[in-house]
Amino acid sequence: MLSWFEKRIDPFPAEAPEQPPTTLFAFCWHYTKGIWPWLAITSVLIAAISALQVALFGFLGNIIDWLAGADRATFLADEGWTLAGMGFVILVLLPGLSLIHTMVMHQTIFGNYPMLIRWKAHRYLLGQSFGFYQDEFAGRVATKMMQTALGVRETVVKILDVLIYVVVYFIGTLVLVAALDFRLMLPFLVWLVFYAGMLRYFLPRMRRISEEQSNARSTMTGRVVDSYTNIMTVKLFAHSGREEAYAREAMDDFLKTVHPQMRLTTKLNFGLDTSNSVLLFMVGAIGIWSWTTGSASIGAIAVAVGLVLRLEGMAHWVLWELAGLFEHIGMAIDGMGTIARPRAVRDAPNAGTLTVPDGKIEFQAIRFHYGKEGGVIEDLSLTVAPGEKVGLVGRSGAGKSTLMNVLLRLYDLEGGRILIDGQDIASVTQDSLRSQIGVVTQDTSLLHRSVRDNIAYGKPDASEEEIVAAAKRANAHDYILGLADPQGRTGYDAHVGERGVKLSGGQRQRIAIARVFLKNAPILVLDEATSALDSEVEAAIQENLNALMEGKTVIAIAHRLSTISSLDRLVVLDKGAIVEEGTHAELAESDGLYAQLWARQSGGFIDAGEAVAAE
Amino acid sequence: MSTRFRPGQEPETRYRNMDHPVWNRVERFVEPFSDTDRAILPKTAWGFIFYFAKQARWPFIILLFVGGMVGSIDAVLYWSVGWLIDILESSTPATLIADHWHQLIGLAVLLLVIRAVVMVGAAVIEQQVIVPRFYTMIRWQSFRRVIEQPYTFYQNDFAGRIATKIMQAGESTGDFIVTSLQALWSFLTFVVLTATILSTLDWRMGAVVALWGAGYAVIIRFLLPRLRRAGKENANERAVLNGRLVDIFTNILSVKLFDSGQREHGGIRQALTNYMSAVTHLTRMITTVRASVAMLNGIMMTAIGALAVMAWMNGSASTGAIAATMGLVFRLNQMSGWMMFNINGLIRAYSTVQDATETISVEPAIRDREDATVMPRASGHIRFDNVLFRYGKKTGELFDGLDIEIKPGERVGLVGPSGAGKSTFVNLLLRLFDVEGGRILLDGHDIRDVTQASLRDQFGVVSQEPSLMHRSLRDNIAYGRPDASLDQVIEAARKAHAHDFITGVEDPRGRHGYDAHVGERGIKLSGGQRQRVAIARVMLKDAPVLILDEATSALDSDIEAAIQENLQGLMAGKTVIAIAHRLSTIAAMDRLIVMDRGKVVETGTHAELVKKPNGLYARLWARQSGGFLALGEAAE
Repeated sequence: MLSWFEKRIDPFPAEAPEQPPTTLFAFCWHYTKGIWPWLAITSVLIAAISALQVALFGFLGNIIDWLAGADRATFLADEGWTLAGMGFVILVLLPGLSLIHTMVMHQTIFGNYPMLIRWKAHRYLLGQSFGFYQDEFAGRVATKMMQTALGVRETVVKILDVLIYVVVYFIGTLVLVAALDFRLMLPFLVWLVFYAGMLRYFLPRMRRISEEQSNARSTMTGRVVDSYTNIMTVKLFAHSGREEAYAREAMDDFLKTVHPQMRLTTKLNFGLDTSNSVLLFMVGAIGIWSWTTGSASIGAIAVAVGLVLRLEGMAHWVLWELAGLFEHIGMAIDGMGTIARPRAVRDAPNAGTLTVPDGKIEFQAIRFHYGKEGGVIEDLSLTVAPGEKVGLVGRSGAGKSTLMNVLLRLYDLEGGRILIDGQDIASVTQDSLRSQIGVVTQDTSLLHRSVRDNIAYGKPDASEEEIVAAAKRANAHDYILGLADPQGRTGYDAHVGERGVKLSGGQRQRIAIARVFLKNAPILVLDEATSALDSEVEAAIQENLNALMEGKTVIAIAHRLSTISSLDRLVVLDKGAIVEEGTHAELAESDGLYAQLWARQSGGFIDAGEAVAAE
Repeated sequence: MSTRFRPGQEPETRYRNMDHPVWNRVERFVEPFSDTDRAILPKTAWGFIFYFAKQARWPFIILLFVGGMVGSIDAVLYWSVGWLIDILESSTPATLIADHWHQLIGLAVLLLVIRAVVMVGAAVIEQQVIVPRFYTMIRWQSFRRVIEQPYTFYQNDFAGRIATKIMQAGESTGDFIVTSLQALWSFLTFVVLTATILSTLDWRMGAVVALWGAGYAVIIRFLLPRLRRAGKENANERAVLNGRLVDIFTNILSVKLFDSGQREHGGIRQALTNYMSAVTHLTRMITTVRASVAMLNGIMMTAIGALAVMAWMNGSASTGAIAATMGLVFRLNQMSGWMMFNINGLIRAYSTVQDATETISVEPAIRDREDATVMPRASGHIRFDNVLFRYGKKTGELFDGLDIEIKPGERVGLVGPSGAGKSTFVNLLLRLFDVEGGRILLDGHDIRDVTQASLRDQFGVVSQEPSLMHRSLRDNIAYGRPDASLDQVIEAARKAHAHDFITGVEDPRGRHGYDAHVGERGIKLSGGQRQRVAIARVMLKDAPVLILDEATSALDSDIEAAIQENLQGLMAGKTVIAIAHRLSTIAAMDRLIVMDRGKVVETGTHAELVKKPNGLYARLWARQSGGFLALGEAAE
């Protein structure tokens, strides 16, 4: 039976995620609109339960009056049915309704709701541009995403559940009490005004503090994560003490947001407790006074006092819920700031799929400065013929990696366009674009999964043979067989640690290269691929890379000019512009920038071409 | 107040001026950044909680007292209502005040004064004294222990997951204690008093309450452990999910480049599904528990109601007594739901603490000995004496009886194929791992006899993947010597040829130059720029032994030459160990040690080794230059 309730909501809806709205209410609604009927059901149930509970007090009052006025002997005969009715409500009706309410709340809503929020948010986040991720801690993004789901659920559910319960209860109380004696209603109303006033004063302040606190908490966590992510650096520079100071600072800042919040809470508690006590006193006093004038029965006093005591408990509970609510609202708002950002690089509305029959790449008068005024790439044009192997050379910061980044559309151009086989890359989907380009980067990041999964990341439906073949070509197969992780998985099943740290730099690079082999895309981008390998393995890969480069258009950035000398054409960049072009032989002989770089690189070695001839 | 959030902008944090004489006195009671000498925190959740409770015991003791009072006053209040009804019944309006005025006033005082004071007092202790600083204290002490853990600790877990556990440890420990003392304790007091009061009317009612209490305890005893297990599973799965997300976001470049967009969703979907099943298990338990409690309550209330009516009918209970009884019972009903929730919270807090201690209270694999000495500035005499090391595995390569000696001031190059053990050599020297046999000596000291901090002070390391912290460039460069002045920092940056590009840098928050923050892993900079900052860091540290791990492989040749000149200056008077694949760099070393599969196979100067027919070095060299002439001869 429970599982029937659980299956009512699908936590993994298939619709494509859109940018969520940036106001709190709309943001919550964005994630809630699919499941609102269930929330409506819980609201109705909770209202019914609330009304019944108030009615119970009415019963109690009746009992007391009867007891006070009735004859002990005939009591049962007279009121037996009513008593039975009350028994029914207490034993059957109320628990029954509560059970259904609980099941809808906990089975249907509780788990599925935040899960679907996380799912939608995550899918949207994955589509965020690369620039987005460079500005944030990975840990902080993940935390915000997880917390926002919780924040939204709690916000919506609490508002509905608690608010409705309380409103119905209070109205019921007023009605009941007024029916007994008009004057008893007054303290309640006064108290309500005071209560509302307090809420009005405190709530905005608490909300503001919650937001700040949520932010400070993320920063605090982010700093701690930063220390652990870079633990090698911390250890090498023997700086646990310094890291402690750094984390301490963040913890202290966080603390500074906690104290104001707590002060507010205490003030609120104080206001509430005093007003409750006053209310109780007033009701008791008025009750007794009414009794002395004969207009209120004892039962009425009992009911009124009982209701006050009950209301007191509720007032505290509501307050507590509200405090939690603000924390959750704060979380939702904080998360909204990260999740609801527009995607900087978006697929065009009618984006097509990129097809690459030939592999011609054209950079047409492109301009890109990472959003700054200048200083990166201005008016650069370059054409790479299909199947050509072009090398990009230049000093550090000349724009080589930037060129790669815009080709891969990790950033949108600020001017000009890039065409692949005549198609503007901005007019095709990012996914189709990147599926046609294989990339080997200078900073190999491997995911925390098995070697097999990492290699097959470029082609998930690859067979085991294909994976092994790719690994062999990259000269990784042998060492992979010898791997074993702390959980005892071996070979291709072994998991590589965060950022693949368990492997040496060269080993990581080889897995990354295998990954690209397997993907087998028509365009290949090499970003200092083989700089981290030792020469023996390097040569082996070089042979394979040659095979891999066959029939593909290649753009390679390397500092190892000896690698580049085997490419068809070289393009020399300086400060974002092309200054020289030609084959290695031509450029080395001319008196330009390339010649200078080459001279320094080999420490005065004579030309590669001649040296080979000399043997 | 607008909830509109402008994308890309962070909410401003304004920390209010917190000084206020009255508030401060209670707020500052607990010292959050204090610590004890204990090296490892308690391993069991209960031990952990108690350990911290002891450190701030007075607030908790007071809370205990106050919690009890709250429960008692509550019970007394209900009973007073009954008493009130009785006197109303038995008096006339005229006699009421005359006979009972002092009791009525007493009641008023109890109500208006004592009760309010007790409740506010409880609030203040919880919210001013305990929550802020106590929670921080736990996080702080946990953080300090964890940062001392050796490198291997971090290889086996996500950084994000570890951090989460530390944050949660603080909250959960505090919540556990506070909830126990406030909610649980006052509830118990209330129940006991209620049972007692009711017994005075009719022992059977007392018995019903007792039975009810027993039933409640049975539910707790049998259902709650299951709830707890589900909770722990939940916390675990959430941490796994979190770690997975962090992994993806950290490696977002790979994701973008290789994933056609759909599959990463699939991977996360799997993780979410796993988490879902843990959540489902938990929520089912919750529902079962709530249903059971509701049923139990219903039975209790009806039973007592019936008994009350019967008691009234045979005259042994007054009307007031009935009213008080029903009131108390309703209250019990109301509290029990809330209480179950609190107990659930207690269990969840407990299991979170347990989860956290598994990470936090681990004995560090590499610890400073009790009598570890501080190593003075070394001259750089390094000796590996019959070292055995296999990363803890039973068979396989790596070091088996490795003997290497490096004299002070010597410049030694380590060469060899990938996986030969060069990086391992360095890791052992830095004591990132302990040797499994033999020993390593620095200036005659066994490196296990000195503190790790003083050991690593002797080394400046430039590694092949410079990781910069997410802070300002100045802080990154000065990481080698925290008390360096800005001038010293700038000088080091100049030497590393980083100064020029640094002055032109600006981060998204508008900070310039040395104040600019670098993104995670210093990503905003190009590889060469990061490397230069890392080199500046080492230059500033000025340690006696320099370790170069493929330092200049990522720079272009122009910069490389410039650094090469400075490295010469930096190497002067130091012992140098360089691992590079750029054999042209190594050729400038005094001596070369060629390693293969954990053994030293050749050693000598470049000139000697290159001439060895079929020597490993000679083969490597031949491939590297593609047939170029040797360095020495081409310089003419």
